[in-house]
Amino acid sequence: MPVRAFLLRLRSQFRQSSLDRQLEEELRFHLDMEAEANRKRGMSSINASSAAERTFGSTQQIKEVYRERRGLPMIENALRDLQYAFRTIRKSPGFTVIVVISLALGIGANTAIFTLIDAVMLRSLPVRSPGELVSVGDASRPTALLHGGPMPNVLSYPLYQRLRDENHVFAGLLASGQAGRLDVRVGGGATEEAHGRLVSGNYFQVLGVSPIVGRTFSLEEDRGPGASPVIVISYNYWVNHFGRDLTTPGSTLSINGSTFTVIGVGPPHFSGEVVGSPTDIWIPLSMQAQVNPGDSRLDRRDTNWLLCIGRLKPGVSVQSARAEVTALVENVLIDFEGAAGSPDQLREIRSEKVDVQPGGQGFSWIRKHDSSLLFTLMAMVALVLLTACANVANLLFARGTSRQKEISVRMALGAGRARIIRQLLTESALLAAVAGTAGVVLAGWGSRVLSQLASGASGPNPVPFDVDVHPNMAMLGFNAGISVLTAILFGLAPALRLTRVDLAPALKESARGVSQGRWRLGRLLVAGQLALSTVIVTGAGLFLRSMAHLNSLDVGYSRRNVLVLAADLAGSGYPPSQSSQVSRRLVEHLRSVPGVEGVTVSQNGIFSRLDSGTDSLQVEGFVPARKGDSSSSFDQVGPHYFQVLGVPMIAGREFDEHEQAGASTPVIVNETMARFYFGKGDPLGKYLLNGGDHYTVIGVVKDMKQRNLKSKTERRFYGPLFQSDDTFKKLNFEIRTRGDGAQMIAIIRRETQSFDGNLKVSSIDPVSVLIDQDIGGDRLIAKLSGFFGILVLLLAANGLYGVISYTTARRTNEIGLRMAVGADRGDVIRMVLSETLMLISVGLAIGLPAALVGARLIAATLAGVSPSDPMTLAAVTLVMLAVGLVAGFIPAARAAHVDPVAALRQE
Amino acid sequence: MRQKDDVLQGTLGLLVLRTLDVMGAMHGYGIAQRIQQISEDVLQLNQGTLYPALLRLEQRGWVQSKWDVSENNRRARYYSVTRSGRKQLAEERASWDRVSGAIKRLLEAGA
Repeated sequence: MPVRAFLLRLRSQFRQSSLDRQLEEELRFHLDMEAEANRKRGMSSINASSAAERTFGSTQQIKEVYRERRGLPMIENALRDLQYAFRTIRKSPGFTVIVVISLALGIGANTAIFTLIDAVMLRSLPVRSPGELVSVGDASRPTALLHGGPMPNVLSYPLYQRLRDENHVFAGLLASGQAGRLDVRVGGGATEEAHGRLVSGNYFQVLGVSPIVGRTFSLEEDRGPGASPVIVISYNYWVNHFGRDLTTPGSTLSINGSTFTVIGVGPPHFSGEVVGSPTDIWIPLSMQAQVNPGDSRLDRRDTNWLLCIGRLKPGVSVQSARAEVTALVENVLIDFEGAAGSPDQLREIRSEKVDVQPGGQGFSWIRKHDSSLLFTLMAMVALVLLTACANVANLLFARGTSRQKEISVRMALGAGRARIIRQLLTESALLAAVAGTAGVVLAGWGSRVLSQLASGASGPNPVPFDVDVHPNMAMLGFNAGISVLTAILFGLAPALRLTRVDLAPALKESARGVSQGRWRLGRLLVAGQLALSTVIVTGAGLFLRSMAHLNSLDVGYSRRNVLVLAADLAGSGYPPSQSSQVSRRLVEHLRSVPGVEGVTVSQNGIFSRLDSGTDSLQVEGFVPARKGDSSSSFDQVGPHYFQVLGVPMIAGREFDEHEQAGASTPVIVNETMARFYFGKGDPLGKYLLNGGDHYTVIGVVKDMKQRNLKSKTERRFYGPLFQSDDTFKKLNFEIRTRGDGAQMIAIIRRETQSFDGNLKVSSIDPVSVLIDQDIGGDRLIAKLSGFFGILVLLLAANGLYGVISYTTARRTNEIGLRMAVGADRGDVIRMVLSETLMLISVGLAIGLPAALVGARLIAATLAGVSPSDPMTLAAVTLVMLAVGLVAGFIPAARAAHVDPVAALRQE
Repeated sequence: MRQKDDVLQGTLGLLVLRTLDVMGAMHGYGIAQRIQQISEDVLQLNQGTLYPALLRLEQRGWVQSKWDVSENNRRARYYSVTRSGRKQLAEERASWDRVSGAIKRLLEAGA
């Protein structure tokens, strides 16, 4: 198009109405002149005008062509369609609200879940060229701290040093590990907890992250242990605690009693290499002993607590890095085992594979453990959105029928089909855009709520799910994409069908031919909706049954009457040597509180997400056959632990106040462990070896759930608390109350304060609450699937109601005739309902098999219910039938009240 | 569809330019009458299509238009050919002569 023409067209874009008037006048003039000439030739004036119009051709079509040529048709048509769409949408606010709400819920839910999936699984760390990074070690265990033998997948500091210095594949290899609890005091302020990581001196260089203020670590910081009391703080920590003060570098703060100097501030958006758990403070590895007093790990080959990220040298592939790292780790571990290594151990070392993976996404616990949850949710909300689309398509149809005549007229006047389809799709796009925008708002809110729910942030040992869910390009792009897709999904079918018109009958009122087609597609959509609903409702049913199972499961003690009080002894200022004495005194004190039936204490507590385990247990008279046979969980518990909880002893006795430390430590084993190791034999008096420790079994206790509700009870033994030399920084006190434990929380808190005002109580929770937090993911899914199940049922009922109303309205004559020849109301109702039933049956026939397939995919997340649970399937069938019959009954009843005479007269 | 349209429009454009070149400023009705008259009704013009063609010529800058008073005292839009329009006419006329001559020769040679 030449420039001049384009500019003229562009200009005429803004003078539409004046140009329209001019064209109108010009054409009028032409026609008048022609008619005048015809009259002069002797025609009557009526004939003269119509003859003029005939020679001229369709003015409507000329105007259309003229307009199209006058302006920029693409823009102009789009604008006109948009205007038109706005008008139509404003004309039916009720319809618009329903459509926008159902789509916004669908789009919002999809966007919210996508945001979480993106943050947890797709997004790369905000560092330089994340594609060059490679993680070494089990990336799902960034906070591991494992004692015992050397391990390949969580590294000790000596192993890291060797790997760093001896590899040829990395331009740099960093290591990081958990810093444990950090009590930080800035200036004269109060002590606050902060999240820290212990990192190697090359941490920031390897990642390619530059400070915005000050400097980051250098290799200097890897020098002598304790020689570099410096830290780098995160941007957020800087904002919240230093108010963006540019002079922050050089200021000092106290961490766990030692003084550190801030040397720099990280850039915005960089919150460390652990996804889901942002870092506030980075501390050099060399300062580990200062941060964790009494727990020096740097020179220990048997303390495994580090993960690595390496930056590949140019041209090196992940495979070759994996090969070299595996070989290196093997060599180093064999070195470490030295001459003491038995052939078995060496073989074991050689069989271990080292995890070397692309590392641009950092480490994450939640990536491994919550991804199935997220994908299940994603699948669910995608189905919900599909159902919503089917519903909206149906609504558009129902409304389209009333516009059928308008569309037919326009097509008869020469408007192209494509043109009208474009217009109808513009309307769909506008609806989807409004819904999509609302969806962004919903998603922003939803993803925050979901990540909070997923983290169970109030638990005693929360697993943080603290990911960046701020709207970003990925989220907005997804939202826009899914909105467009939605518009096509729900808009295209109605647009195609409404414009596929046999013009003649549509213009006549009888409308049979048209509606037959629309009716068929409408039924198809409703059947599809019913099938999708069946799938979602089945999922919801299974999740709810699983939830009910978990809620009623016998854990071995009363969930409601046991409180767990987590006390932070180290944080309260007690020296380690006093911890046992203080604990005993606290037990005595709380026991005297009215309403308390008993108090005991243990190291790991119940459902606290803490556990201890060993995989090198040797049992008298037992020959391990498989590798896992030597593993067992354990805990250290106080006097009368089981009596207080209410778990019966099956044999032997439990610990009392006078437990004496002898050459052999007394232990109690659970039923599962007794059965596994001793079969029908008597476990009492048998001995166990664990590393250098010697145990004697003094009792067998009934199984109880204390860590994981869903899996089978694990083998577990209990040692007496305070008999070992171990010092305890944190202890859990189990308090059994006479009534509902939740009622006693305030009293217990007050009593603890009066016992010692300085004692730090991390949390007091009834076990029921701790269990709820533990199965937070299941509860979340059960709740959401219930919510979405009801939503899709409403949508399906709505669609069914619409189609049945429509078809019965069309059959008014027929119904009138039937009634005139003797059918009664019951017959009519039966007739309409049987049609409803047919649709539901089709929906179920497609939906139930699909649901069975879907259920197999979620089988792993279910507890105590089979994926093909007949009860659930039967219930779903009943619910679908009930909902369908209710939706169909209203139009059926209406049809039954048709006055036969009036109905027949309509014909 | 579009292509056939364009060929027609192109030919129509040539006729309009020639008419305006010979007759001076005319309104649309006058142009239609003139074309039909000169072609002795061989070219049965669907008169309405004249207006989109005029718009195209105007957008190209080959004709210009202004509102004036007609012979029967009504407001009418008068079109006249511009200088670049005359140039275009000469070019199109030459190419038309060339093409029609070639077709004529071909038809006669084949006979």
